[in-house]
Amino acid sequence: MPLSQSNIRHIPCSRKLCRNLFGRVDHEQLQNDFRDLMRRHLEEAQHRWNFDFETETPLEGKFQWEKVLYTDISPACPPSQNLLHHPKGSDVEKNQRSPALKSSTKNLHVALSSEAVEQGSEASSPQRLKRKQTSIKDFYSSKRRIVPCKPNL
Amino acid sequence: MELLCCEVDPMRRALADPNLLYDDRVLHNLLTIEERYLPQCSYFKCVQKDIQPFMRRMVATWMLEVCEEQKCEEEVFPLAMNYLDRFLAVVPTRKCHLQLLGAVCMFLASKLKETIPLTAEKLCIYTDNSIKPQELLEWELVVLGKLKWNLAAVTPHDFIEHILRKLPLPKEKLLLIRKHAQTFIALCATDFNFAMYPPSMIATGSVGAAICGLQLDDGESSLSGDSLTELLAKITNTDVDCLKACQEQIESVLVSNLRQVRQQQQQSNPSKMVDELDQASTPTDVRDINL
Repeated sequence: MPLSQSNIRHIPCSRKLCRNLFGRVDHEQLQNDFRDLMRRHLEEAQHRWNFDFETETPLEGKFQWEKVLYTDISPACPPSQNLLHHPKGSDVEKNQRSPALKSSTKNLHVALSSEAVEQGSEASSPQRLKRKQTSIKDFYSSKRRIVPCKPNL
Repeated sequence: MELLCCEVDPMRRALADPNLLYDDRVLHNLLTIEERYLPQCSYFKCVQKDIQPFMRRMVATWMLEVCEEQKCEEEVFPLAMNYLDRFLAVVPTRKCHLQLLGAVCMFLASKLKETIPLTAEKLCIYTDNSIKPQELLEWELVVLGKLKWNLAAVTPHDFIEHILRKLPLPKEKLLLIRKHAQTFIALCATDFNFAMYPPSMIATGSVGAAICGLQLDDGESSLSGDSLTELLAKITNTDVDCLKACQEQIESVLVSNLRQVRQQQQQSNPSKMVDELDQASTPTDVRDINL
């Protein structure tokens, strides 16, 4: 087997196991349920963090969001590198913030592909490994005004 | 030029790490965090309207068969069932979407635990193409959100080595005991009665059932009956009576499962009479059964 194919399972699916257990799947209903659940998920996140993840803007609530410069957040990383690869306000940065919360899959693809491009451009730099993963808190710092409920595990 | 690599098993596995297995802090931490990953409620009563216990069993059996055919790592199936139960405990789900959910859970568990994970396309084929890969990927996101991205759940498999190394077991029997315990764990995962039990209890009960079933107590008195149960209970801090009940429950699930299999065999091949079941005494004799 060529090495390039070795990361694929070559076990065929036996016919008797290929079965539809609970009858016809209504794809339209499935899509509606999916949209509904994603929308509710987004609303819950928005409520919990008082942050509008679709427009990327802070809202009124128990957290006070402050915009921070990317260069402020990881002292372990030389600022020059951050500036080089994360020009403020670039599309890369915007899309990286909350790919999981985007309700449309189109956005998700953009987010994933921009990440891939970015990784490629940094591939030659050994310091890439040191960069910590970006999260929403890397772009806005949050301060708790009142004691918030602890995020459930 | 492509390199040929014919002799090596493409599945790469890490070796067991003695630093993790021979350190009681690991066991202690597993025991501390395991409850976090249990489903929040008995969801057939309080959440689900469309889904009934027999449907969970149907989808679980199908998932187990797929995992077995695809030679998934042992922990993939119980982990996928953990995701399924945790999702169903919070999201009312339609019956016709249950198989999709099962496929998504296998997809996630396989990605977490395997070097060569199951593909979305393959899983869709197993549903007889009743779902599309795109739908599987979309629902993956939904499930991840509902599980709060907490995928590294503790499963009974995490305890097996910790338990086995503390028992005075003959070395040559270890492989068989492990295999049987793993089978019991899979059996428990198909049965909703075990869904709310802590993984450590299922692991302890499964090892107990495996040792009793293999009748290893001949020369070693600490491996027989009550003294084994006490020894096991001490290892995972489980209540002795709970553990006893759990082990008995596991054994009875095995018996009823074997009975079912036999009935199916007889239906498909009535001339072949099977009478092994009558010979099996309690604890169930599992030595002759090809689990």
